[in-house]
Amino acid sequence: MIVCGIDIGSVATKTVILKDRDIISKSLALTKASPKLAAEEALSKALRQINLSEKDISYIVSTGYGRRIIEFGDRTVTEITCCGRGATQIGSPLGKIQTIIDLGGQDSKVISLDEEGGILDFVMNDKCSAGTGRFLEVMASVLEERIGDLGEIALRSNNPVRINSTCTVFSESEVISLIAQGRNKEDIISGICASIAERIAGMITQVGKKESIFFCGGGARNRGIHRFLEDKLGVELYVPQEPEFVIALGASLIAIESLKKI
Amino acid sequence: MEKNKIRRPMTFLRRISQILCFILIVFGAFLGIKKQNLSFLPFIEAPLEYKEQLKSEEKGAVILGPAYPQAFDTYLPVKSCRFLRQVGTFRACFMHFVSESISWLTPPRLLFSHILLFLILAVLLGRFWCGWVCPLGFIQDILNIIRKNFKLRRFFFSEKFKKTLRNLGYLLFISIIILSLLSAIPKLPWSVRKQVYLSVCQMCPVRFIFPYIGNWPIKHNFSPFGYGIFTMISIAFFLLLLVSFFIKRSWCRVCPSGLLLSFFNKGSFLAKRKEPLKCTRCGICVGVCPLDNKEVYLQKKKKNIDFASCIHCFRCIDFCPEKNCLKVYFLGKTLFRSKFKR
Amino acid sequence: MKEILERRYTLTPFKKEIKGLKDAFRRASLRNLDSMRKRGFRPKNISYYEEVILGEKRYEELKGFSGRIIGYFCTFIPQELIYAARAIPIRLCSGFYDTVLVCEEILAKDICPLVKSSFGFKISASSYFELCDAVILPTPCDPKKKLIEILSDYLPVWVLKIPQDKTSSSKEIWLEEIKSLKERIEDFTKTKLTRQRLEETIKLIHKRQTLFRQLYEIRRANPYLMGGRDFLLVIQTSFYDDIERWIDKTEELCKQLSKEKTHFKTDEKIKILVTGSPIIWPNFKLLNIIEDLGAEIVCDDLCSGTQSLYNLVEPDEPTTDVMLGAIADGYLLSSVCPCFIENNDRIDRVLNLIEEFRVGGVIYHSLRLCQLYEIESHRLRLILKEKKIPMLTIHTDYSQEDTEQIKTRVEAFLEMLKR
Repeated sequence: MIVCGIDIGSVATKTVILKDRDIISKSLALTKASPKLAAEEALSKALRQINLSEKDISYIVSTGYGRRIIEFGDRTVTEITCCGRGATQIGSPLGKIQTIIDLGGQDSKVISLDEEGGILDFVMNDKCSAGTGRFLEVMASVLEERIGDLGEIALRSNNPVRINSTCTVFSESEVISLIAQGRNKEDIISGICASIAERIAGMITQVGKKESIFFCGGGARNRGIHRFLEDKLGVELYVPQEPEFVIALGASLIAIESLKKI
Repeated sequence: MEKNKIRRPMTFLRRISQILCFILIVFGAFLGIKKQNLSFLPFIEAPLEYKEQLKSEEKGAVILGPAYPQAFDTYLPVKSCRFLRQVGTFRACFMHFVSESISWLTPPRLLFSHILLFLILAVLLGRFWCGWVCPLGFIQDILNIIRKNFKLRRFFFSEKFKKTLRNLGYLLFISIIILSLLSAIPKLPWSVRKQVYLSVCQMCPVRFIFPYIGNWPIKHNFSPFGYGIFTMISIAFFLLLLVSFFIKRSWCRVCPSGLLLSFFNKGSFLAKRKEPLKCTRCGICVGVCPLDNKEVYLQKKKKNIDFASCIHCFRCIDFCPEKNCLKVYFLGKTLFRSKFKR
Repeated sequence: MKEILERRYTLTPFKKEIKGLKDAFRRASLRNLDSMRKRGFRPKNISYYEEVILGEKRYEELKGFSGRIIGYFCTFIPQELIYAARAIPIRLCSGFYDTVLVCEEILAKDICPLVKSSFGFKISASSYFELCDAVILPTPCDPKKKLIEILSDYLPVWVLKIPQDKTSSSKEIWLEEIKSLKERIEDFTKTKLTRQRLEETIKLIHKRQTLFRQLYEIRRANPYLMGGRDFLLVIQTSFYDDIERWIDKTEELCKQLSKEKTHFKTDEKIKILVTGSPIIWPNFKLLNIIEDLGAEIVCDDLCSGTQSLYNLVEPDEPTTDVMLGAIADGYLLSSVCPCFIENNDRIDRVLNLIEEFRVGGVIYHSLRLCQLYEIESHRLRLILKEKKIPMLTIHTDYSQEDTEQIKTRVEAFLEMLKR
């Protein structure tokens, strides 16, 4: 039984192919302008790795903001459900997962789980992109750094600036003026990471639980945000090996379950 | 299609009960109900010396008159009374009982069964009597209905004045007890004691009603009531009763009988309950309450909505448009519940 | 009679004709209707309400009306008084996005969309607003308060000051407000609001409300007989429609539905309670999303929904003072508008609806910049959390741009409830 989960995010499209609950292949493609093409690309990339064709896959679950765009999917599920499912599958050395933070490209969300791993409550960021990966991306381009390096740079700072604006566009001009003031690049980047961490911490307060937190999504790779969040919340966060694949994994697990129901 | 349906079943039943009780209490004897036959409680007679003195009084004294009949001596907590000299099935005003027994210094063993009956009825039903049985209440309701049909304006007592009237009721109650005790002091000369004897009846507004409608032919004579101050008070109370043409149940706010029963309202077996969540706070219950009580409307925390000034007319339950929001319980069983009327 | 508006400065009202506004409204309405028609079972005569909400026919009808037409906002305005003066009340609260844009030409962006949308209609001189001879405005929130001032340049505006709470002193003030409104209406329409007329109109509106409650009970017994959007559609047509015709049609509807009851089965749809800021036609975005995703909106406590027809005016006797008192009570006491300082009544209402309709989850519609509702959602959220009832708050406005984001949230919420 081979199934597939596709997570079509705003930045990257992730695919996980399972064979009897074991991951046999996964791939990542940048979404860019066409989520449809990206999904096809990611799927074919993943299939190529294991020399299979689309026909071999018995069930496809698509998720993410572009979940309805693709034509080859069997079922669509929201990324929140998938995220919860994926995270419980991966598990955490900190104990039973109670809260999940997912820092994605277009939105960030905090999910609270019950004893059985079902979703109890969730909060997503507002419709603007503050506190998301997109925010980081914009800031990286303003500061002419690679987005992947931001975390490391942030950790080098001893004196982070405070970013006051909550809106990406306004923050951008704020950062530009900070550069003009001659502020240290490390401090600015560290301030950016801190502002994201602050937003997420606020969402956690809304959801209400903060023990055994699982941190995933592309943003979890940013060590700066990770550190700031830990400082703010006063607890340790667990980041899985490949945090961006959690949702796609969840989607593929749901595919297995859907297949069983049929 | 539902024209034949009774829109306000509780009010409908209550009116029937009020009419029946009014007839029984006021005109009972005309119906040929033998008084003595129905009495199952021991009859309390005045001690002999009183009888002698009473006989020696001038003729025509209504309350002290020698022709005081052997009434059906069951003291139900309602008003029917010795002013209904020739008729009346029950002589049932409990205040009268209290006052008379004190004056005569009746031995407690004779009173026991009467008090027990009163307690049982009061604990079972609370102020049910005020709303469903009391002929004075009925008269007040009728006065109000007349006004309603003339489309005249309804007035209200202010909250402050309502409180004053209630305090007046307490004052009245206490003074009745004191005056009755006074009339029981053997050392005082009879001419003094008779002034305060049965002060409750002397102050009662009924003096100007029942003798005219209940007795036939009218034999009422004011002269023996020359006990000045009491007559003035009773006229004032009679006027207060007439005020119920404009202000519903105005006398009920002072009535000492109602006051006595009101202590049993909370915790009586006839109880009102409210489902606080179902209440939308529409305020209809305040508008329809004859005593414009706000307790039912205000209570949003507890289910128990029994309170002293409720006369158990259940109009609030009749009018409440929320299904199952208000209920009448009796001995733990639901008798009636509010529902949405089409 | 006291005059509230002094009108020291009389300004030339700003007006701007916008082409194609009517078509845009029709398009927006049809978009909703298309989505609503996807539902499997719909009552037969729902098409009547669809026509009324599109508004064209009714607009022409009202244009030909010789008497006065009086506009009003919110659920606080006693329509009894307006009908008693042989005038027609029209509720002017609007949920149309295009007129928001019209209004934004003169007012800032950060203002309540409801007020902007309604005022936009006045600026562009279209829709029912143009037909109104006068407007009655209550003062539940700041935007409405200031709308009074702005509108006073355009047409006679009467103010009804809403008290801050429901205590007995507030009730007295409110009763005075109602009485002065009565005088105003008498002056304006040159008709005396006699006792008899008041009695008649109270009966008329009472009939409408009881009929609505009948429909409400039918839906309570079986929420699947009629979709939540259809239910709201029926309610919101009553803002504009001829009252007697509406009563006739709704009577018919009730009859139809009570016949249908026997052969219609309850299935496994998720039951949703929608609460929060008003959702007014054609802003059915959130409702469309919820019902298109397969959930059922079984009840609401919206002031543009159930609240506007649920409350009864029940005078104990047909005397003028008691009737006016009952009107005052009926419109103030059972209101669950967040404009009151302590609004436990609303929490109770929501909890009761959850219990009565066996609701699976609550969706809180928080209209952007509607601060009162937004603040209130916090306590409600905590209370529902304590009672383990899931609640989703959706912050949105009249624009369509966030449809996808809302869809994700609602869908995830429904997936969460499905387990």
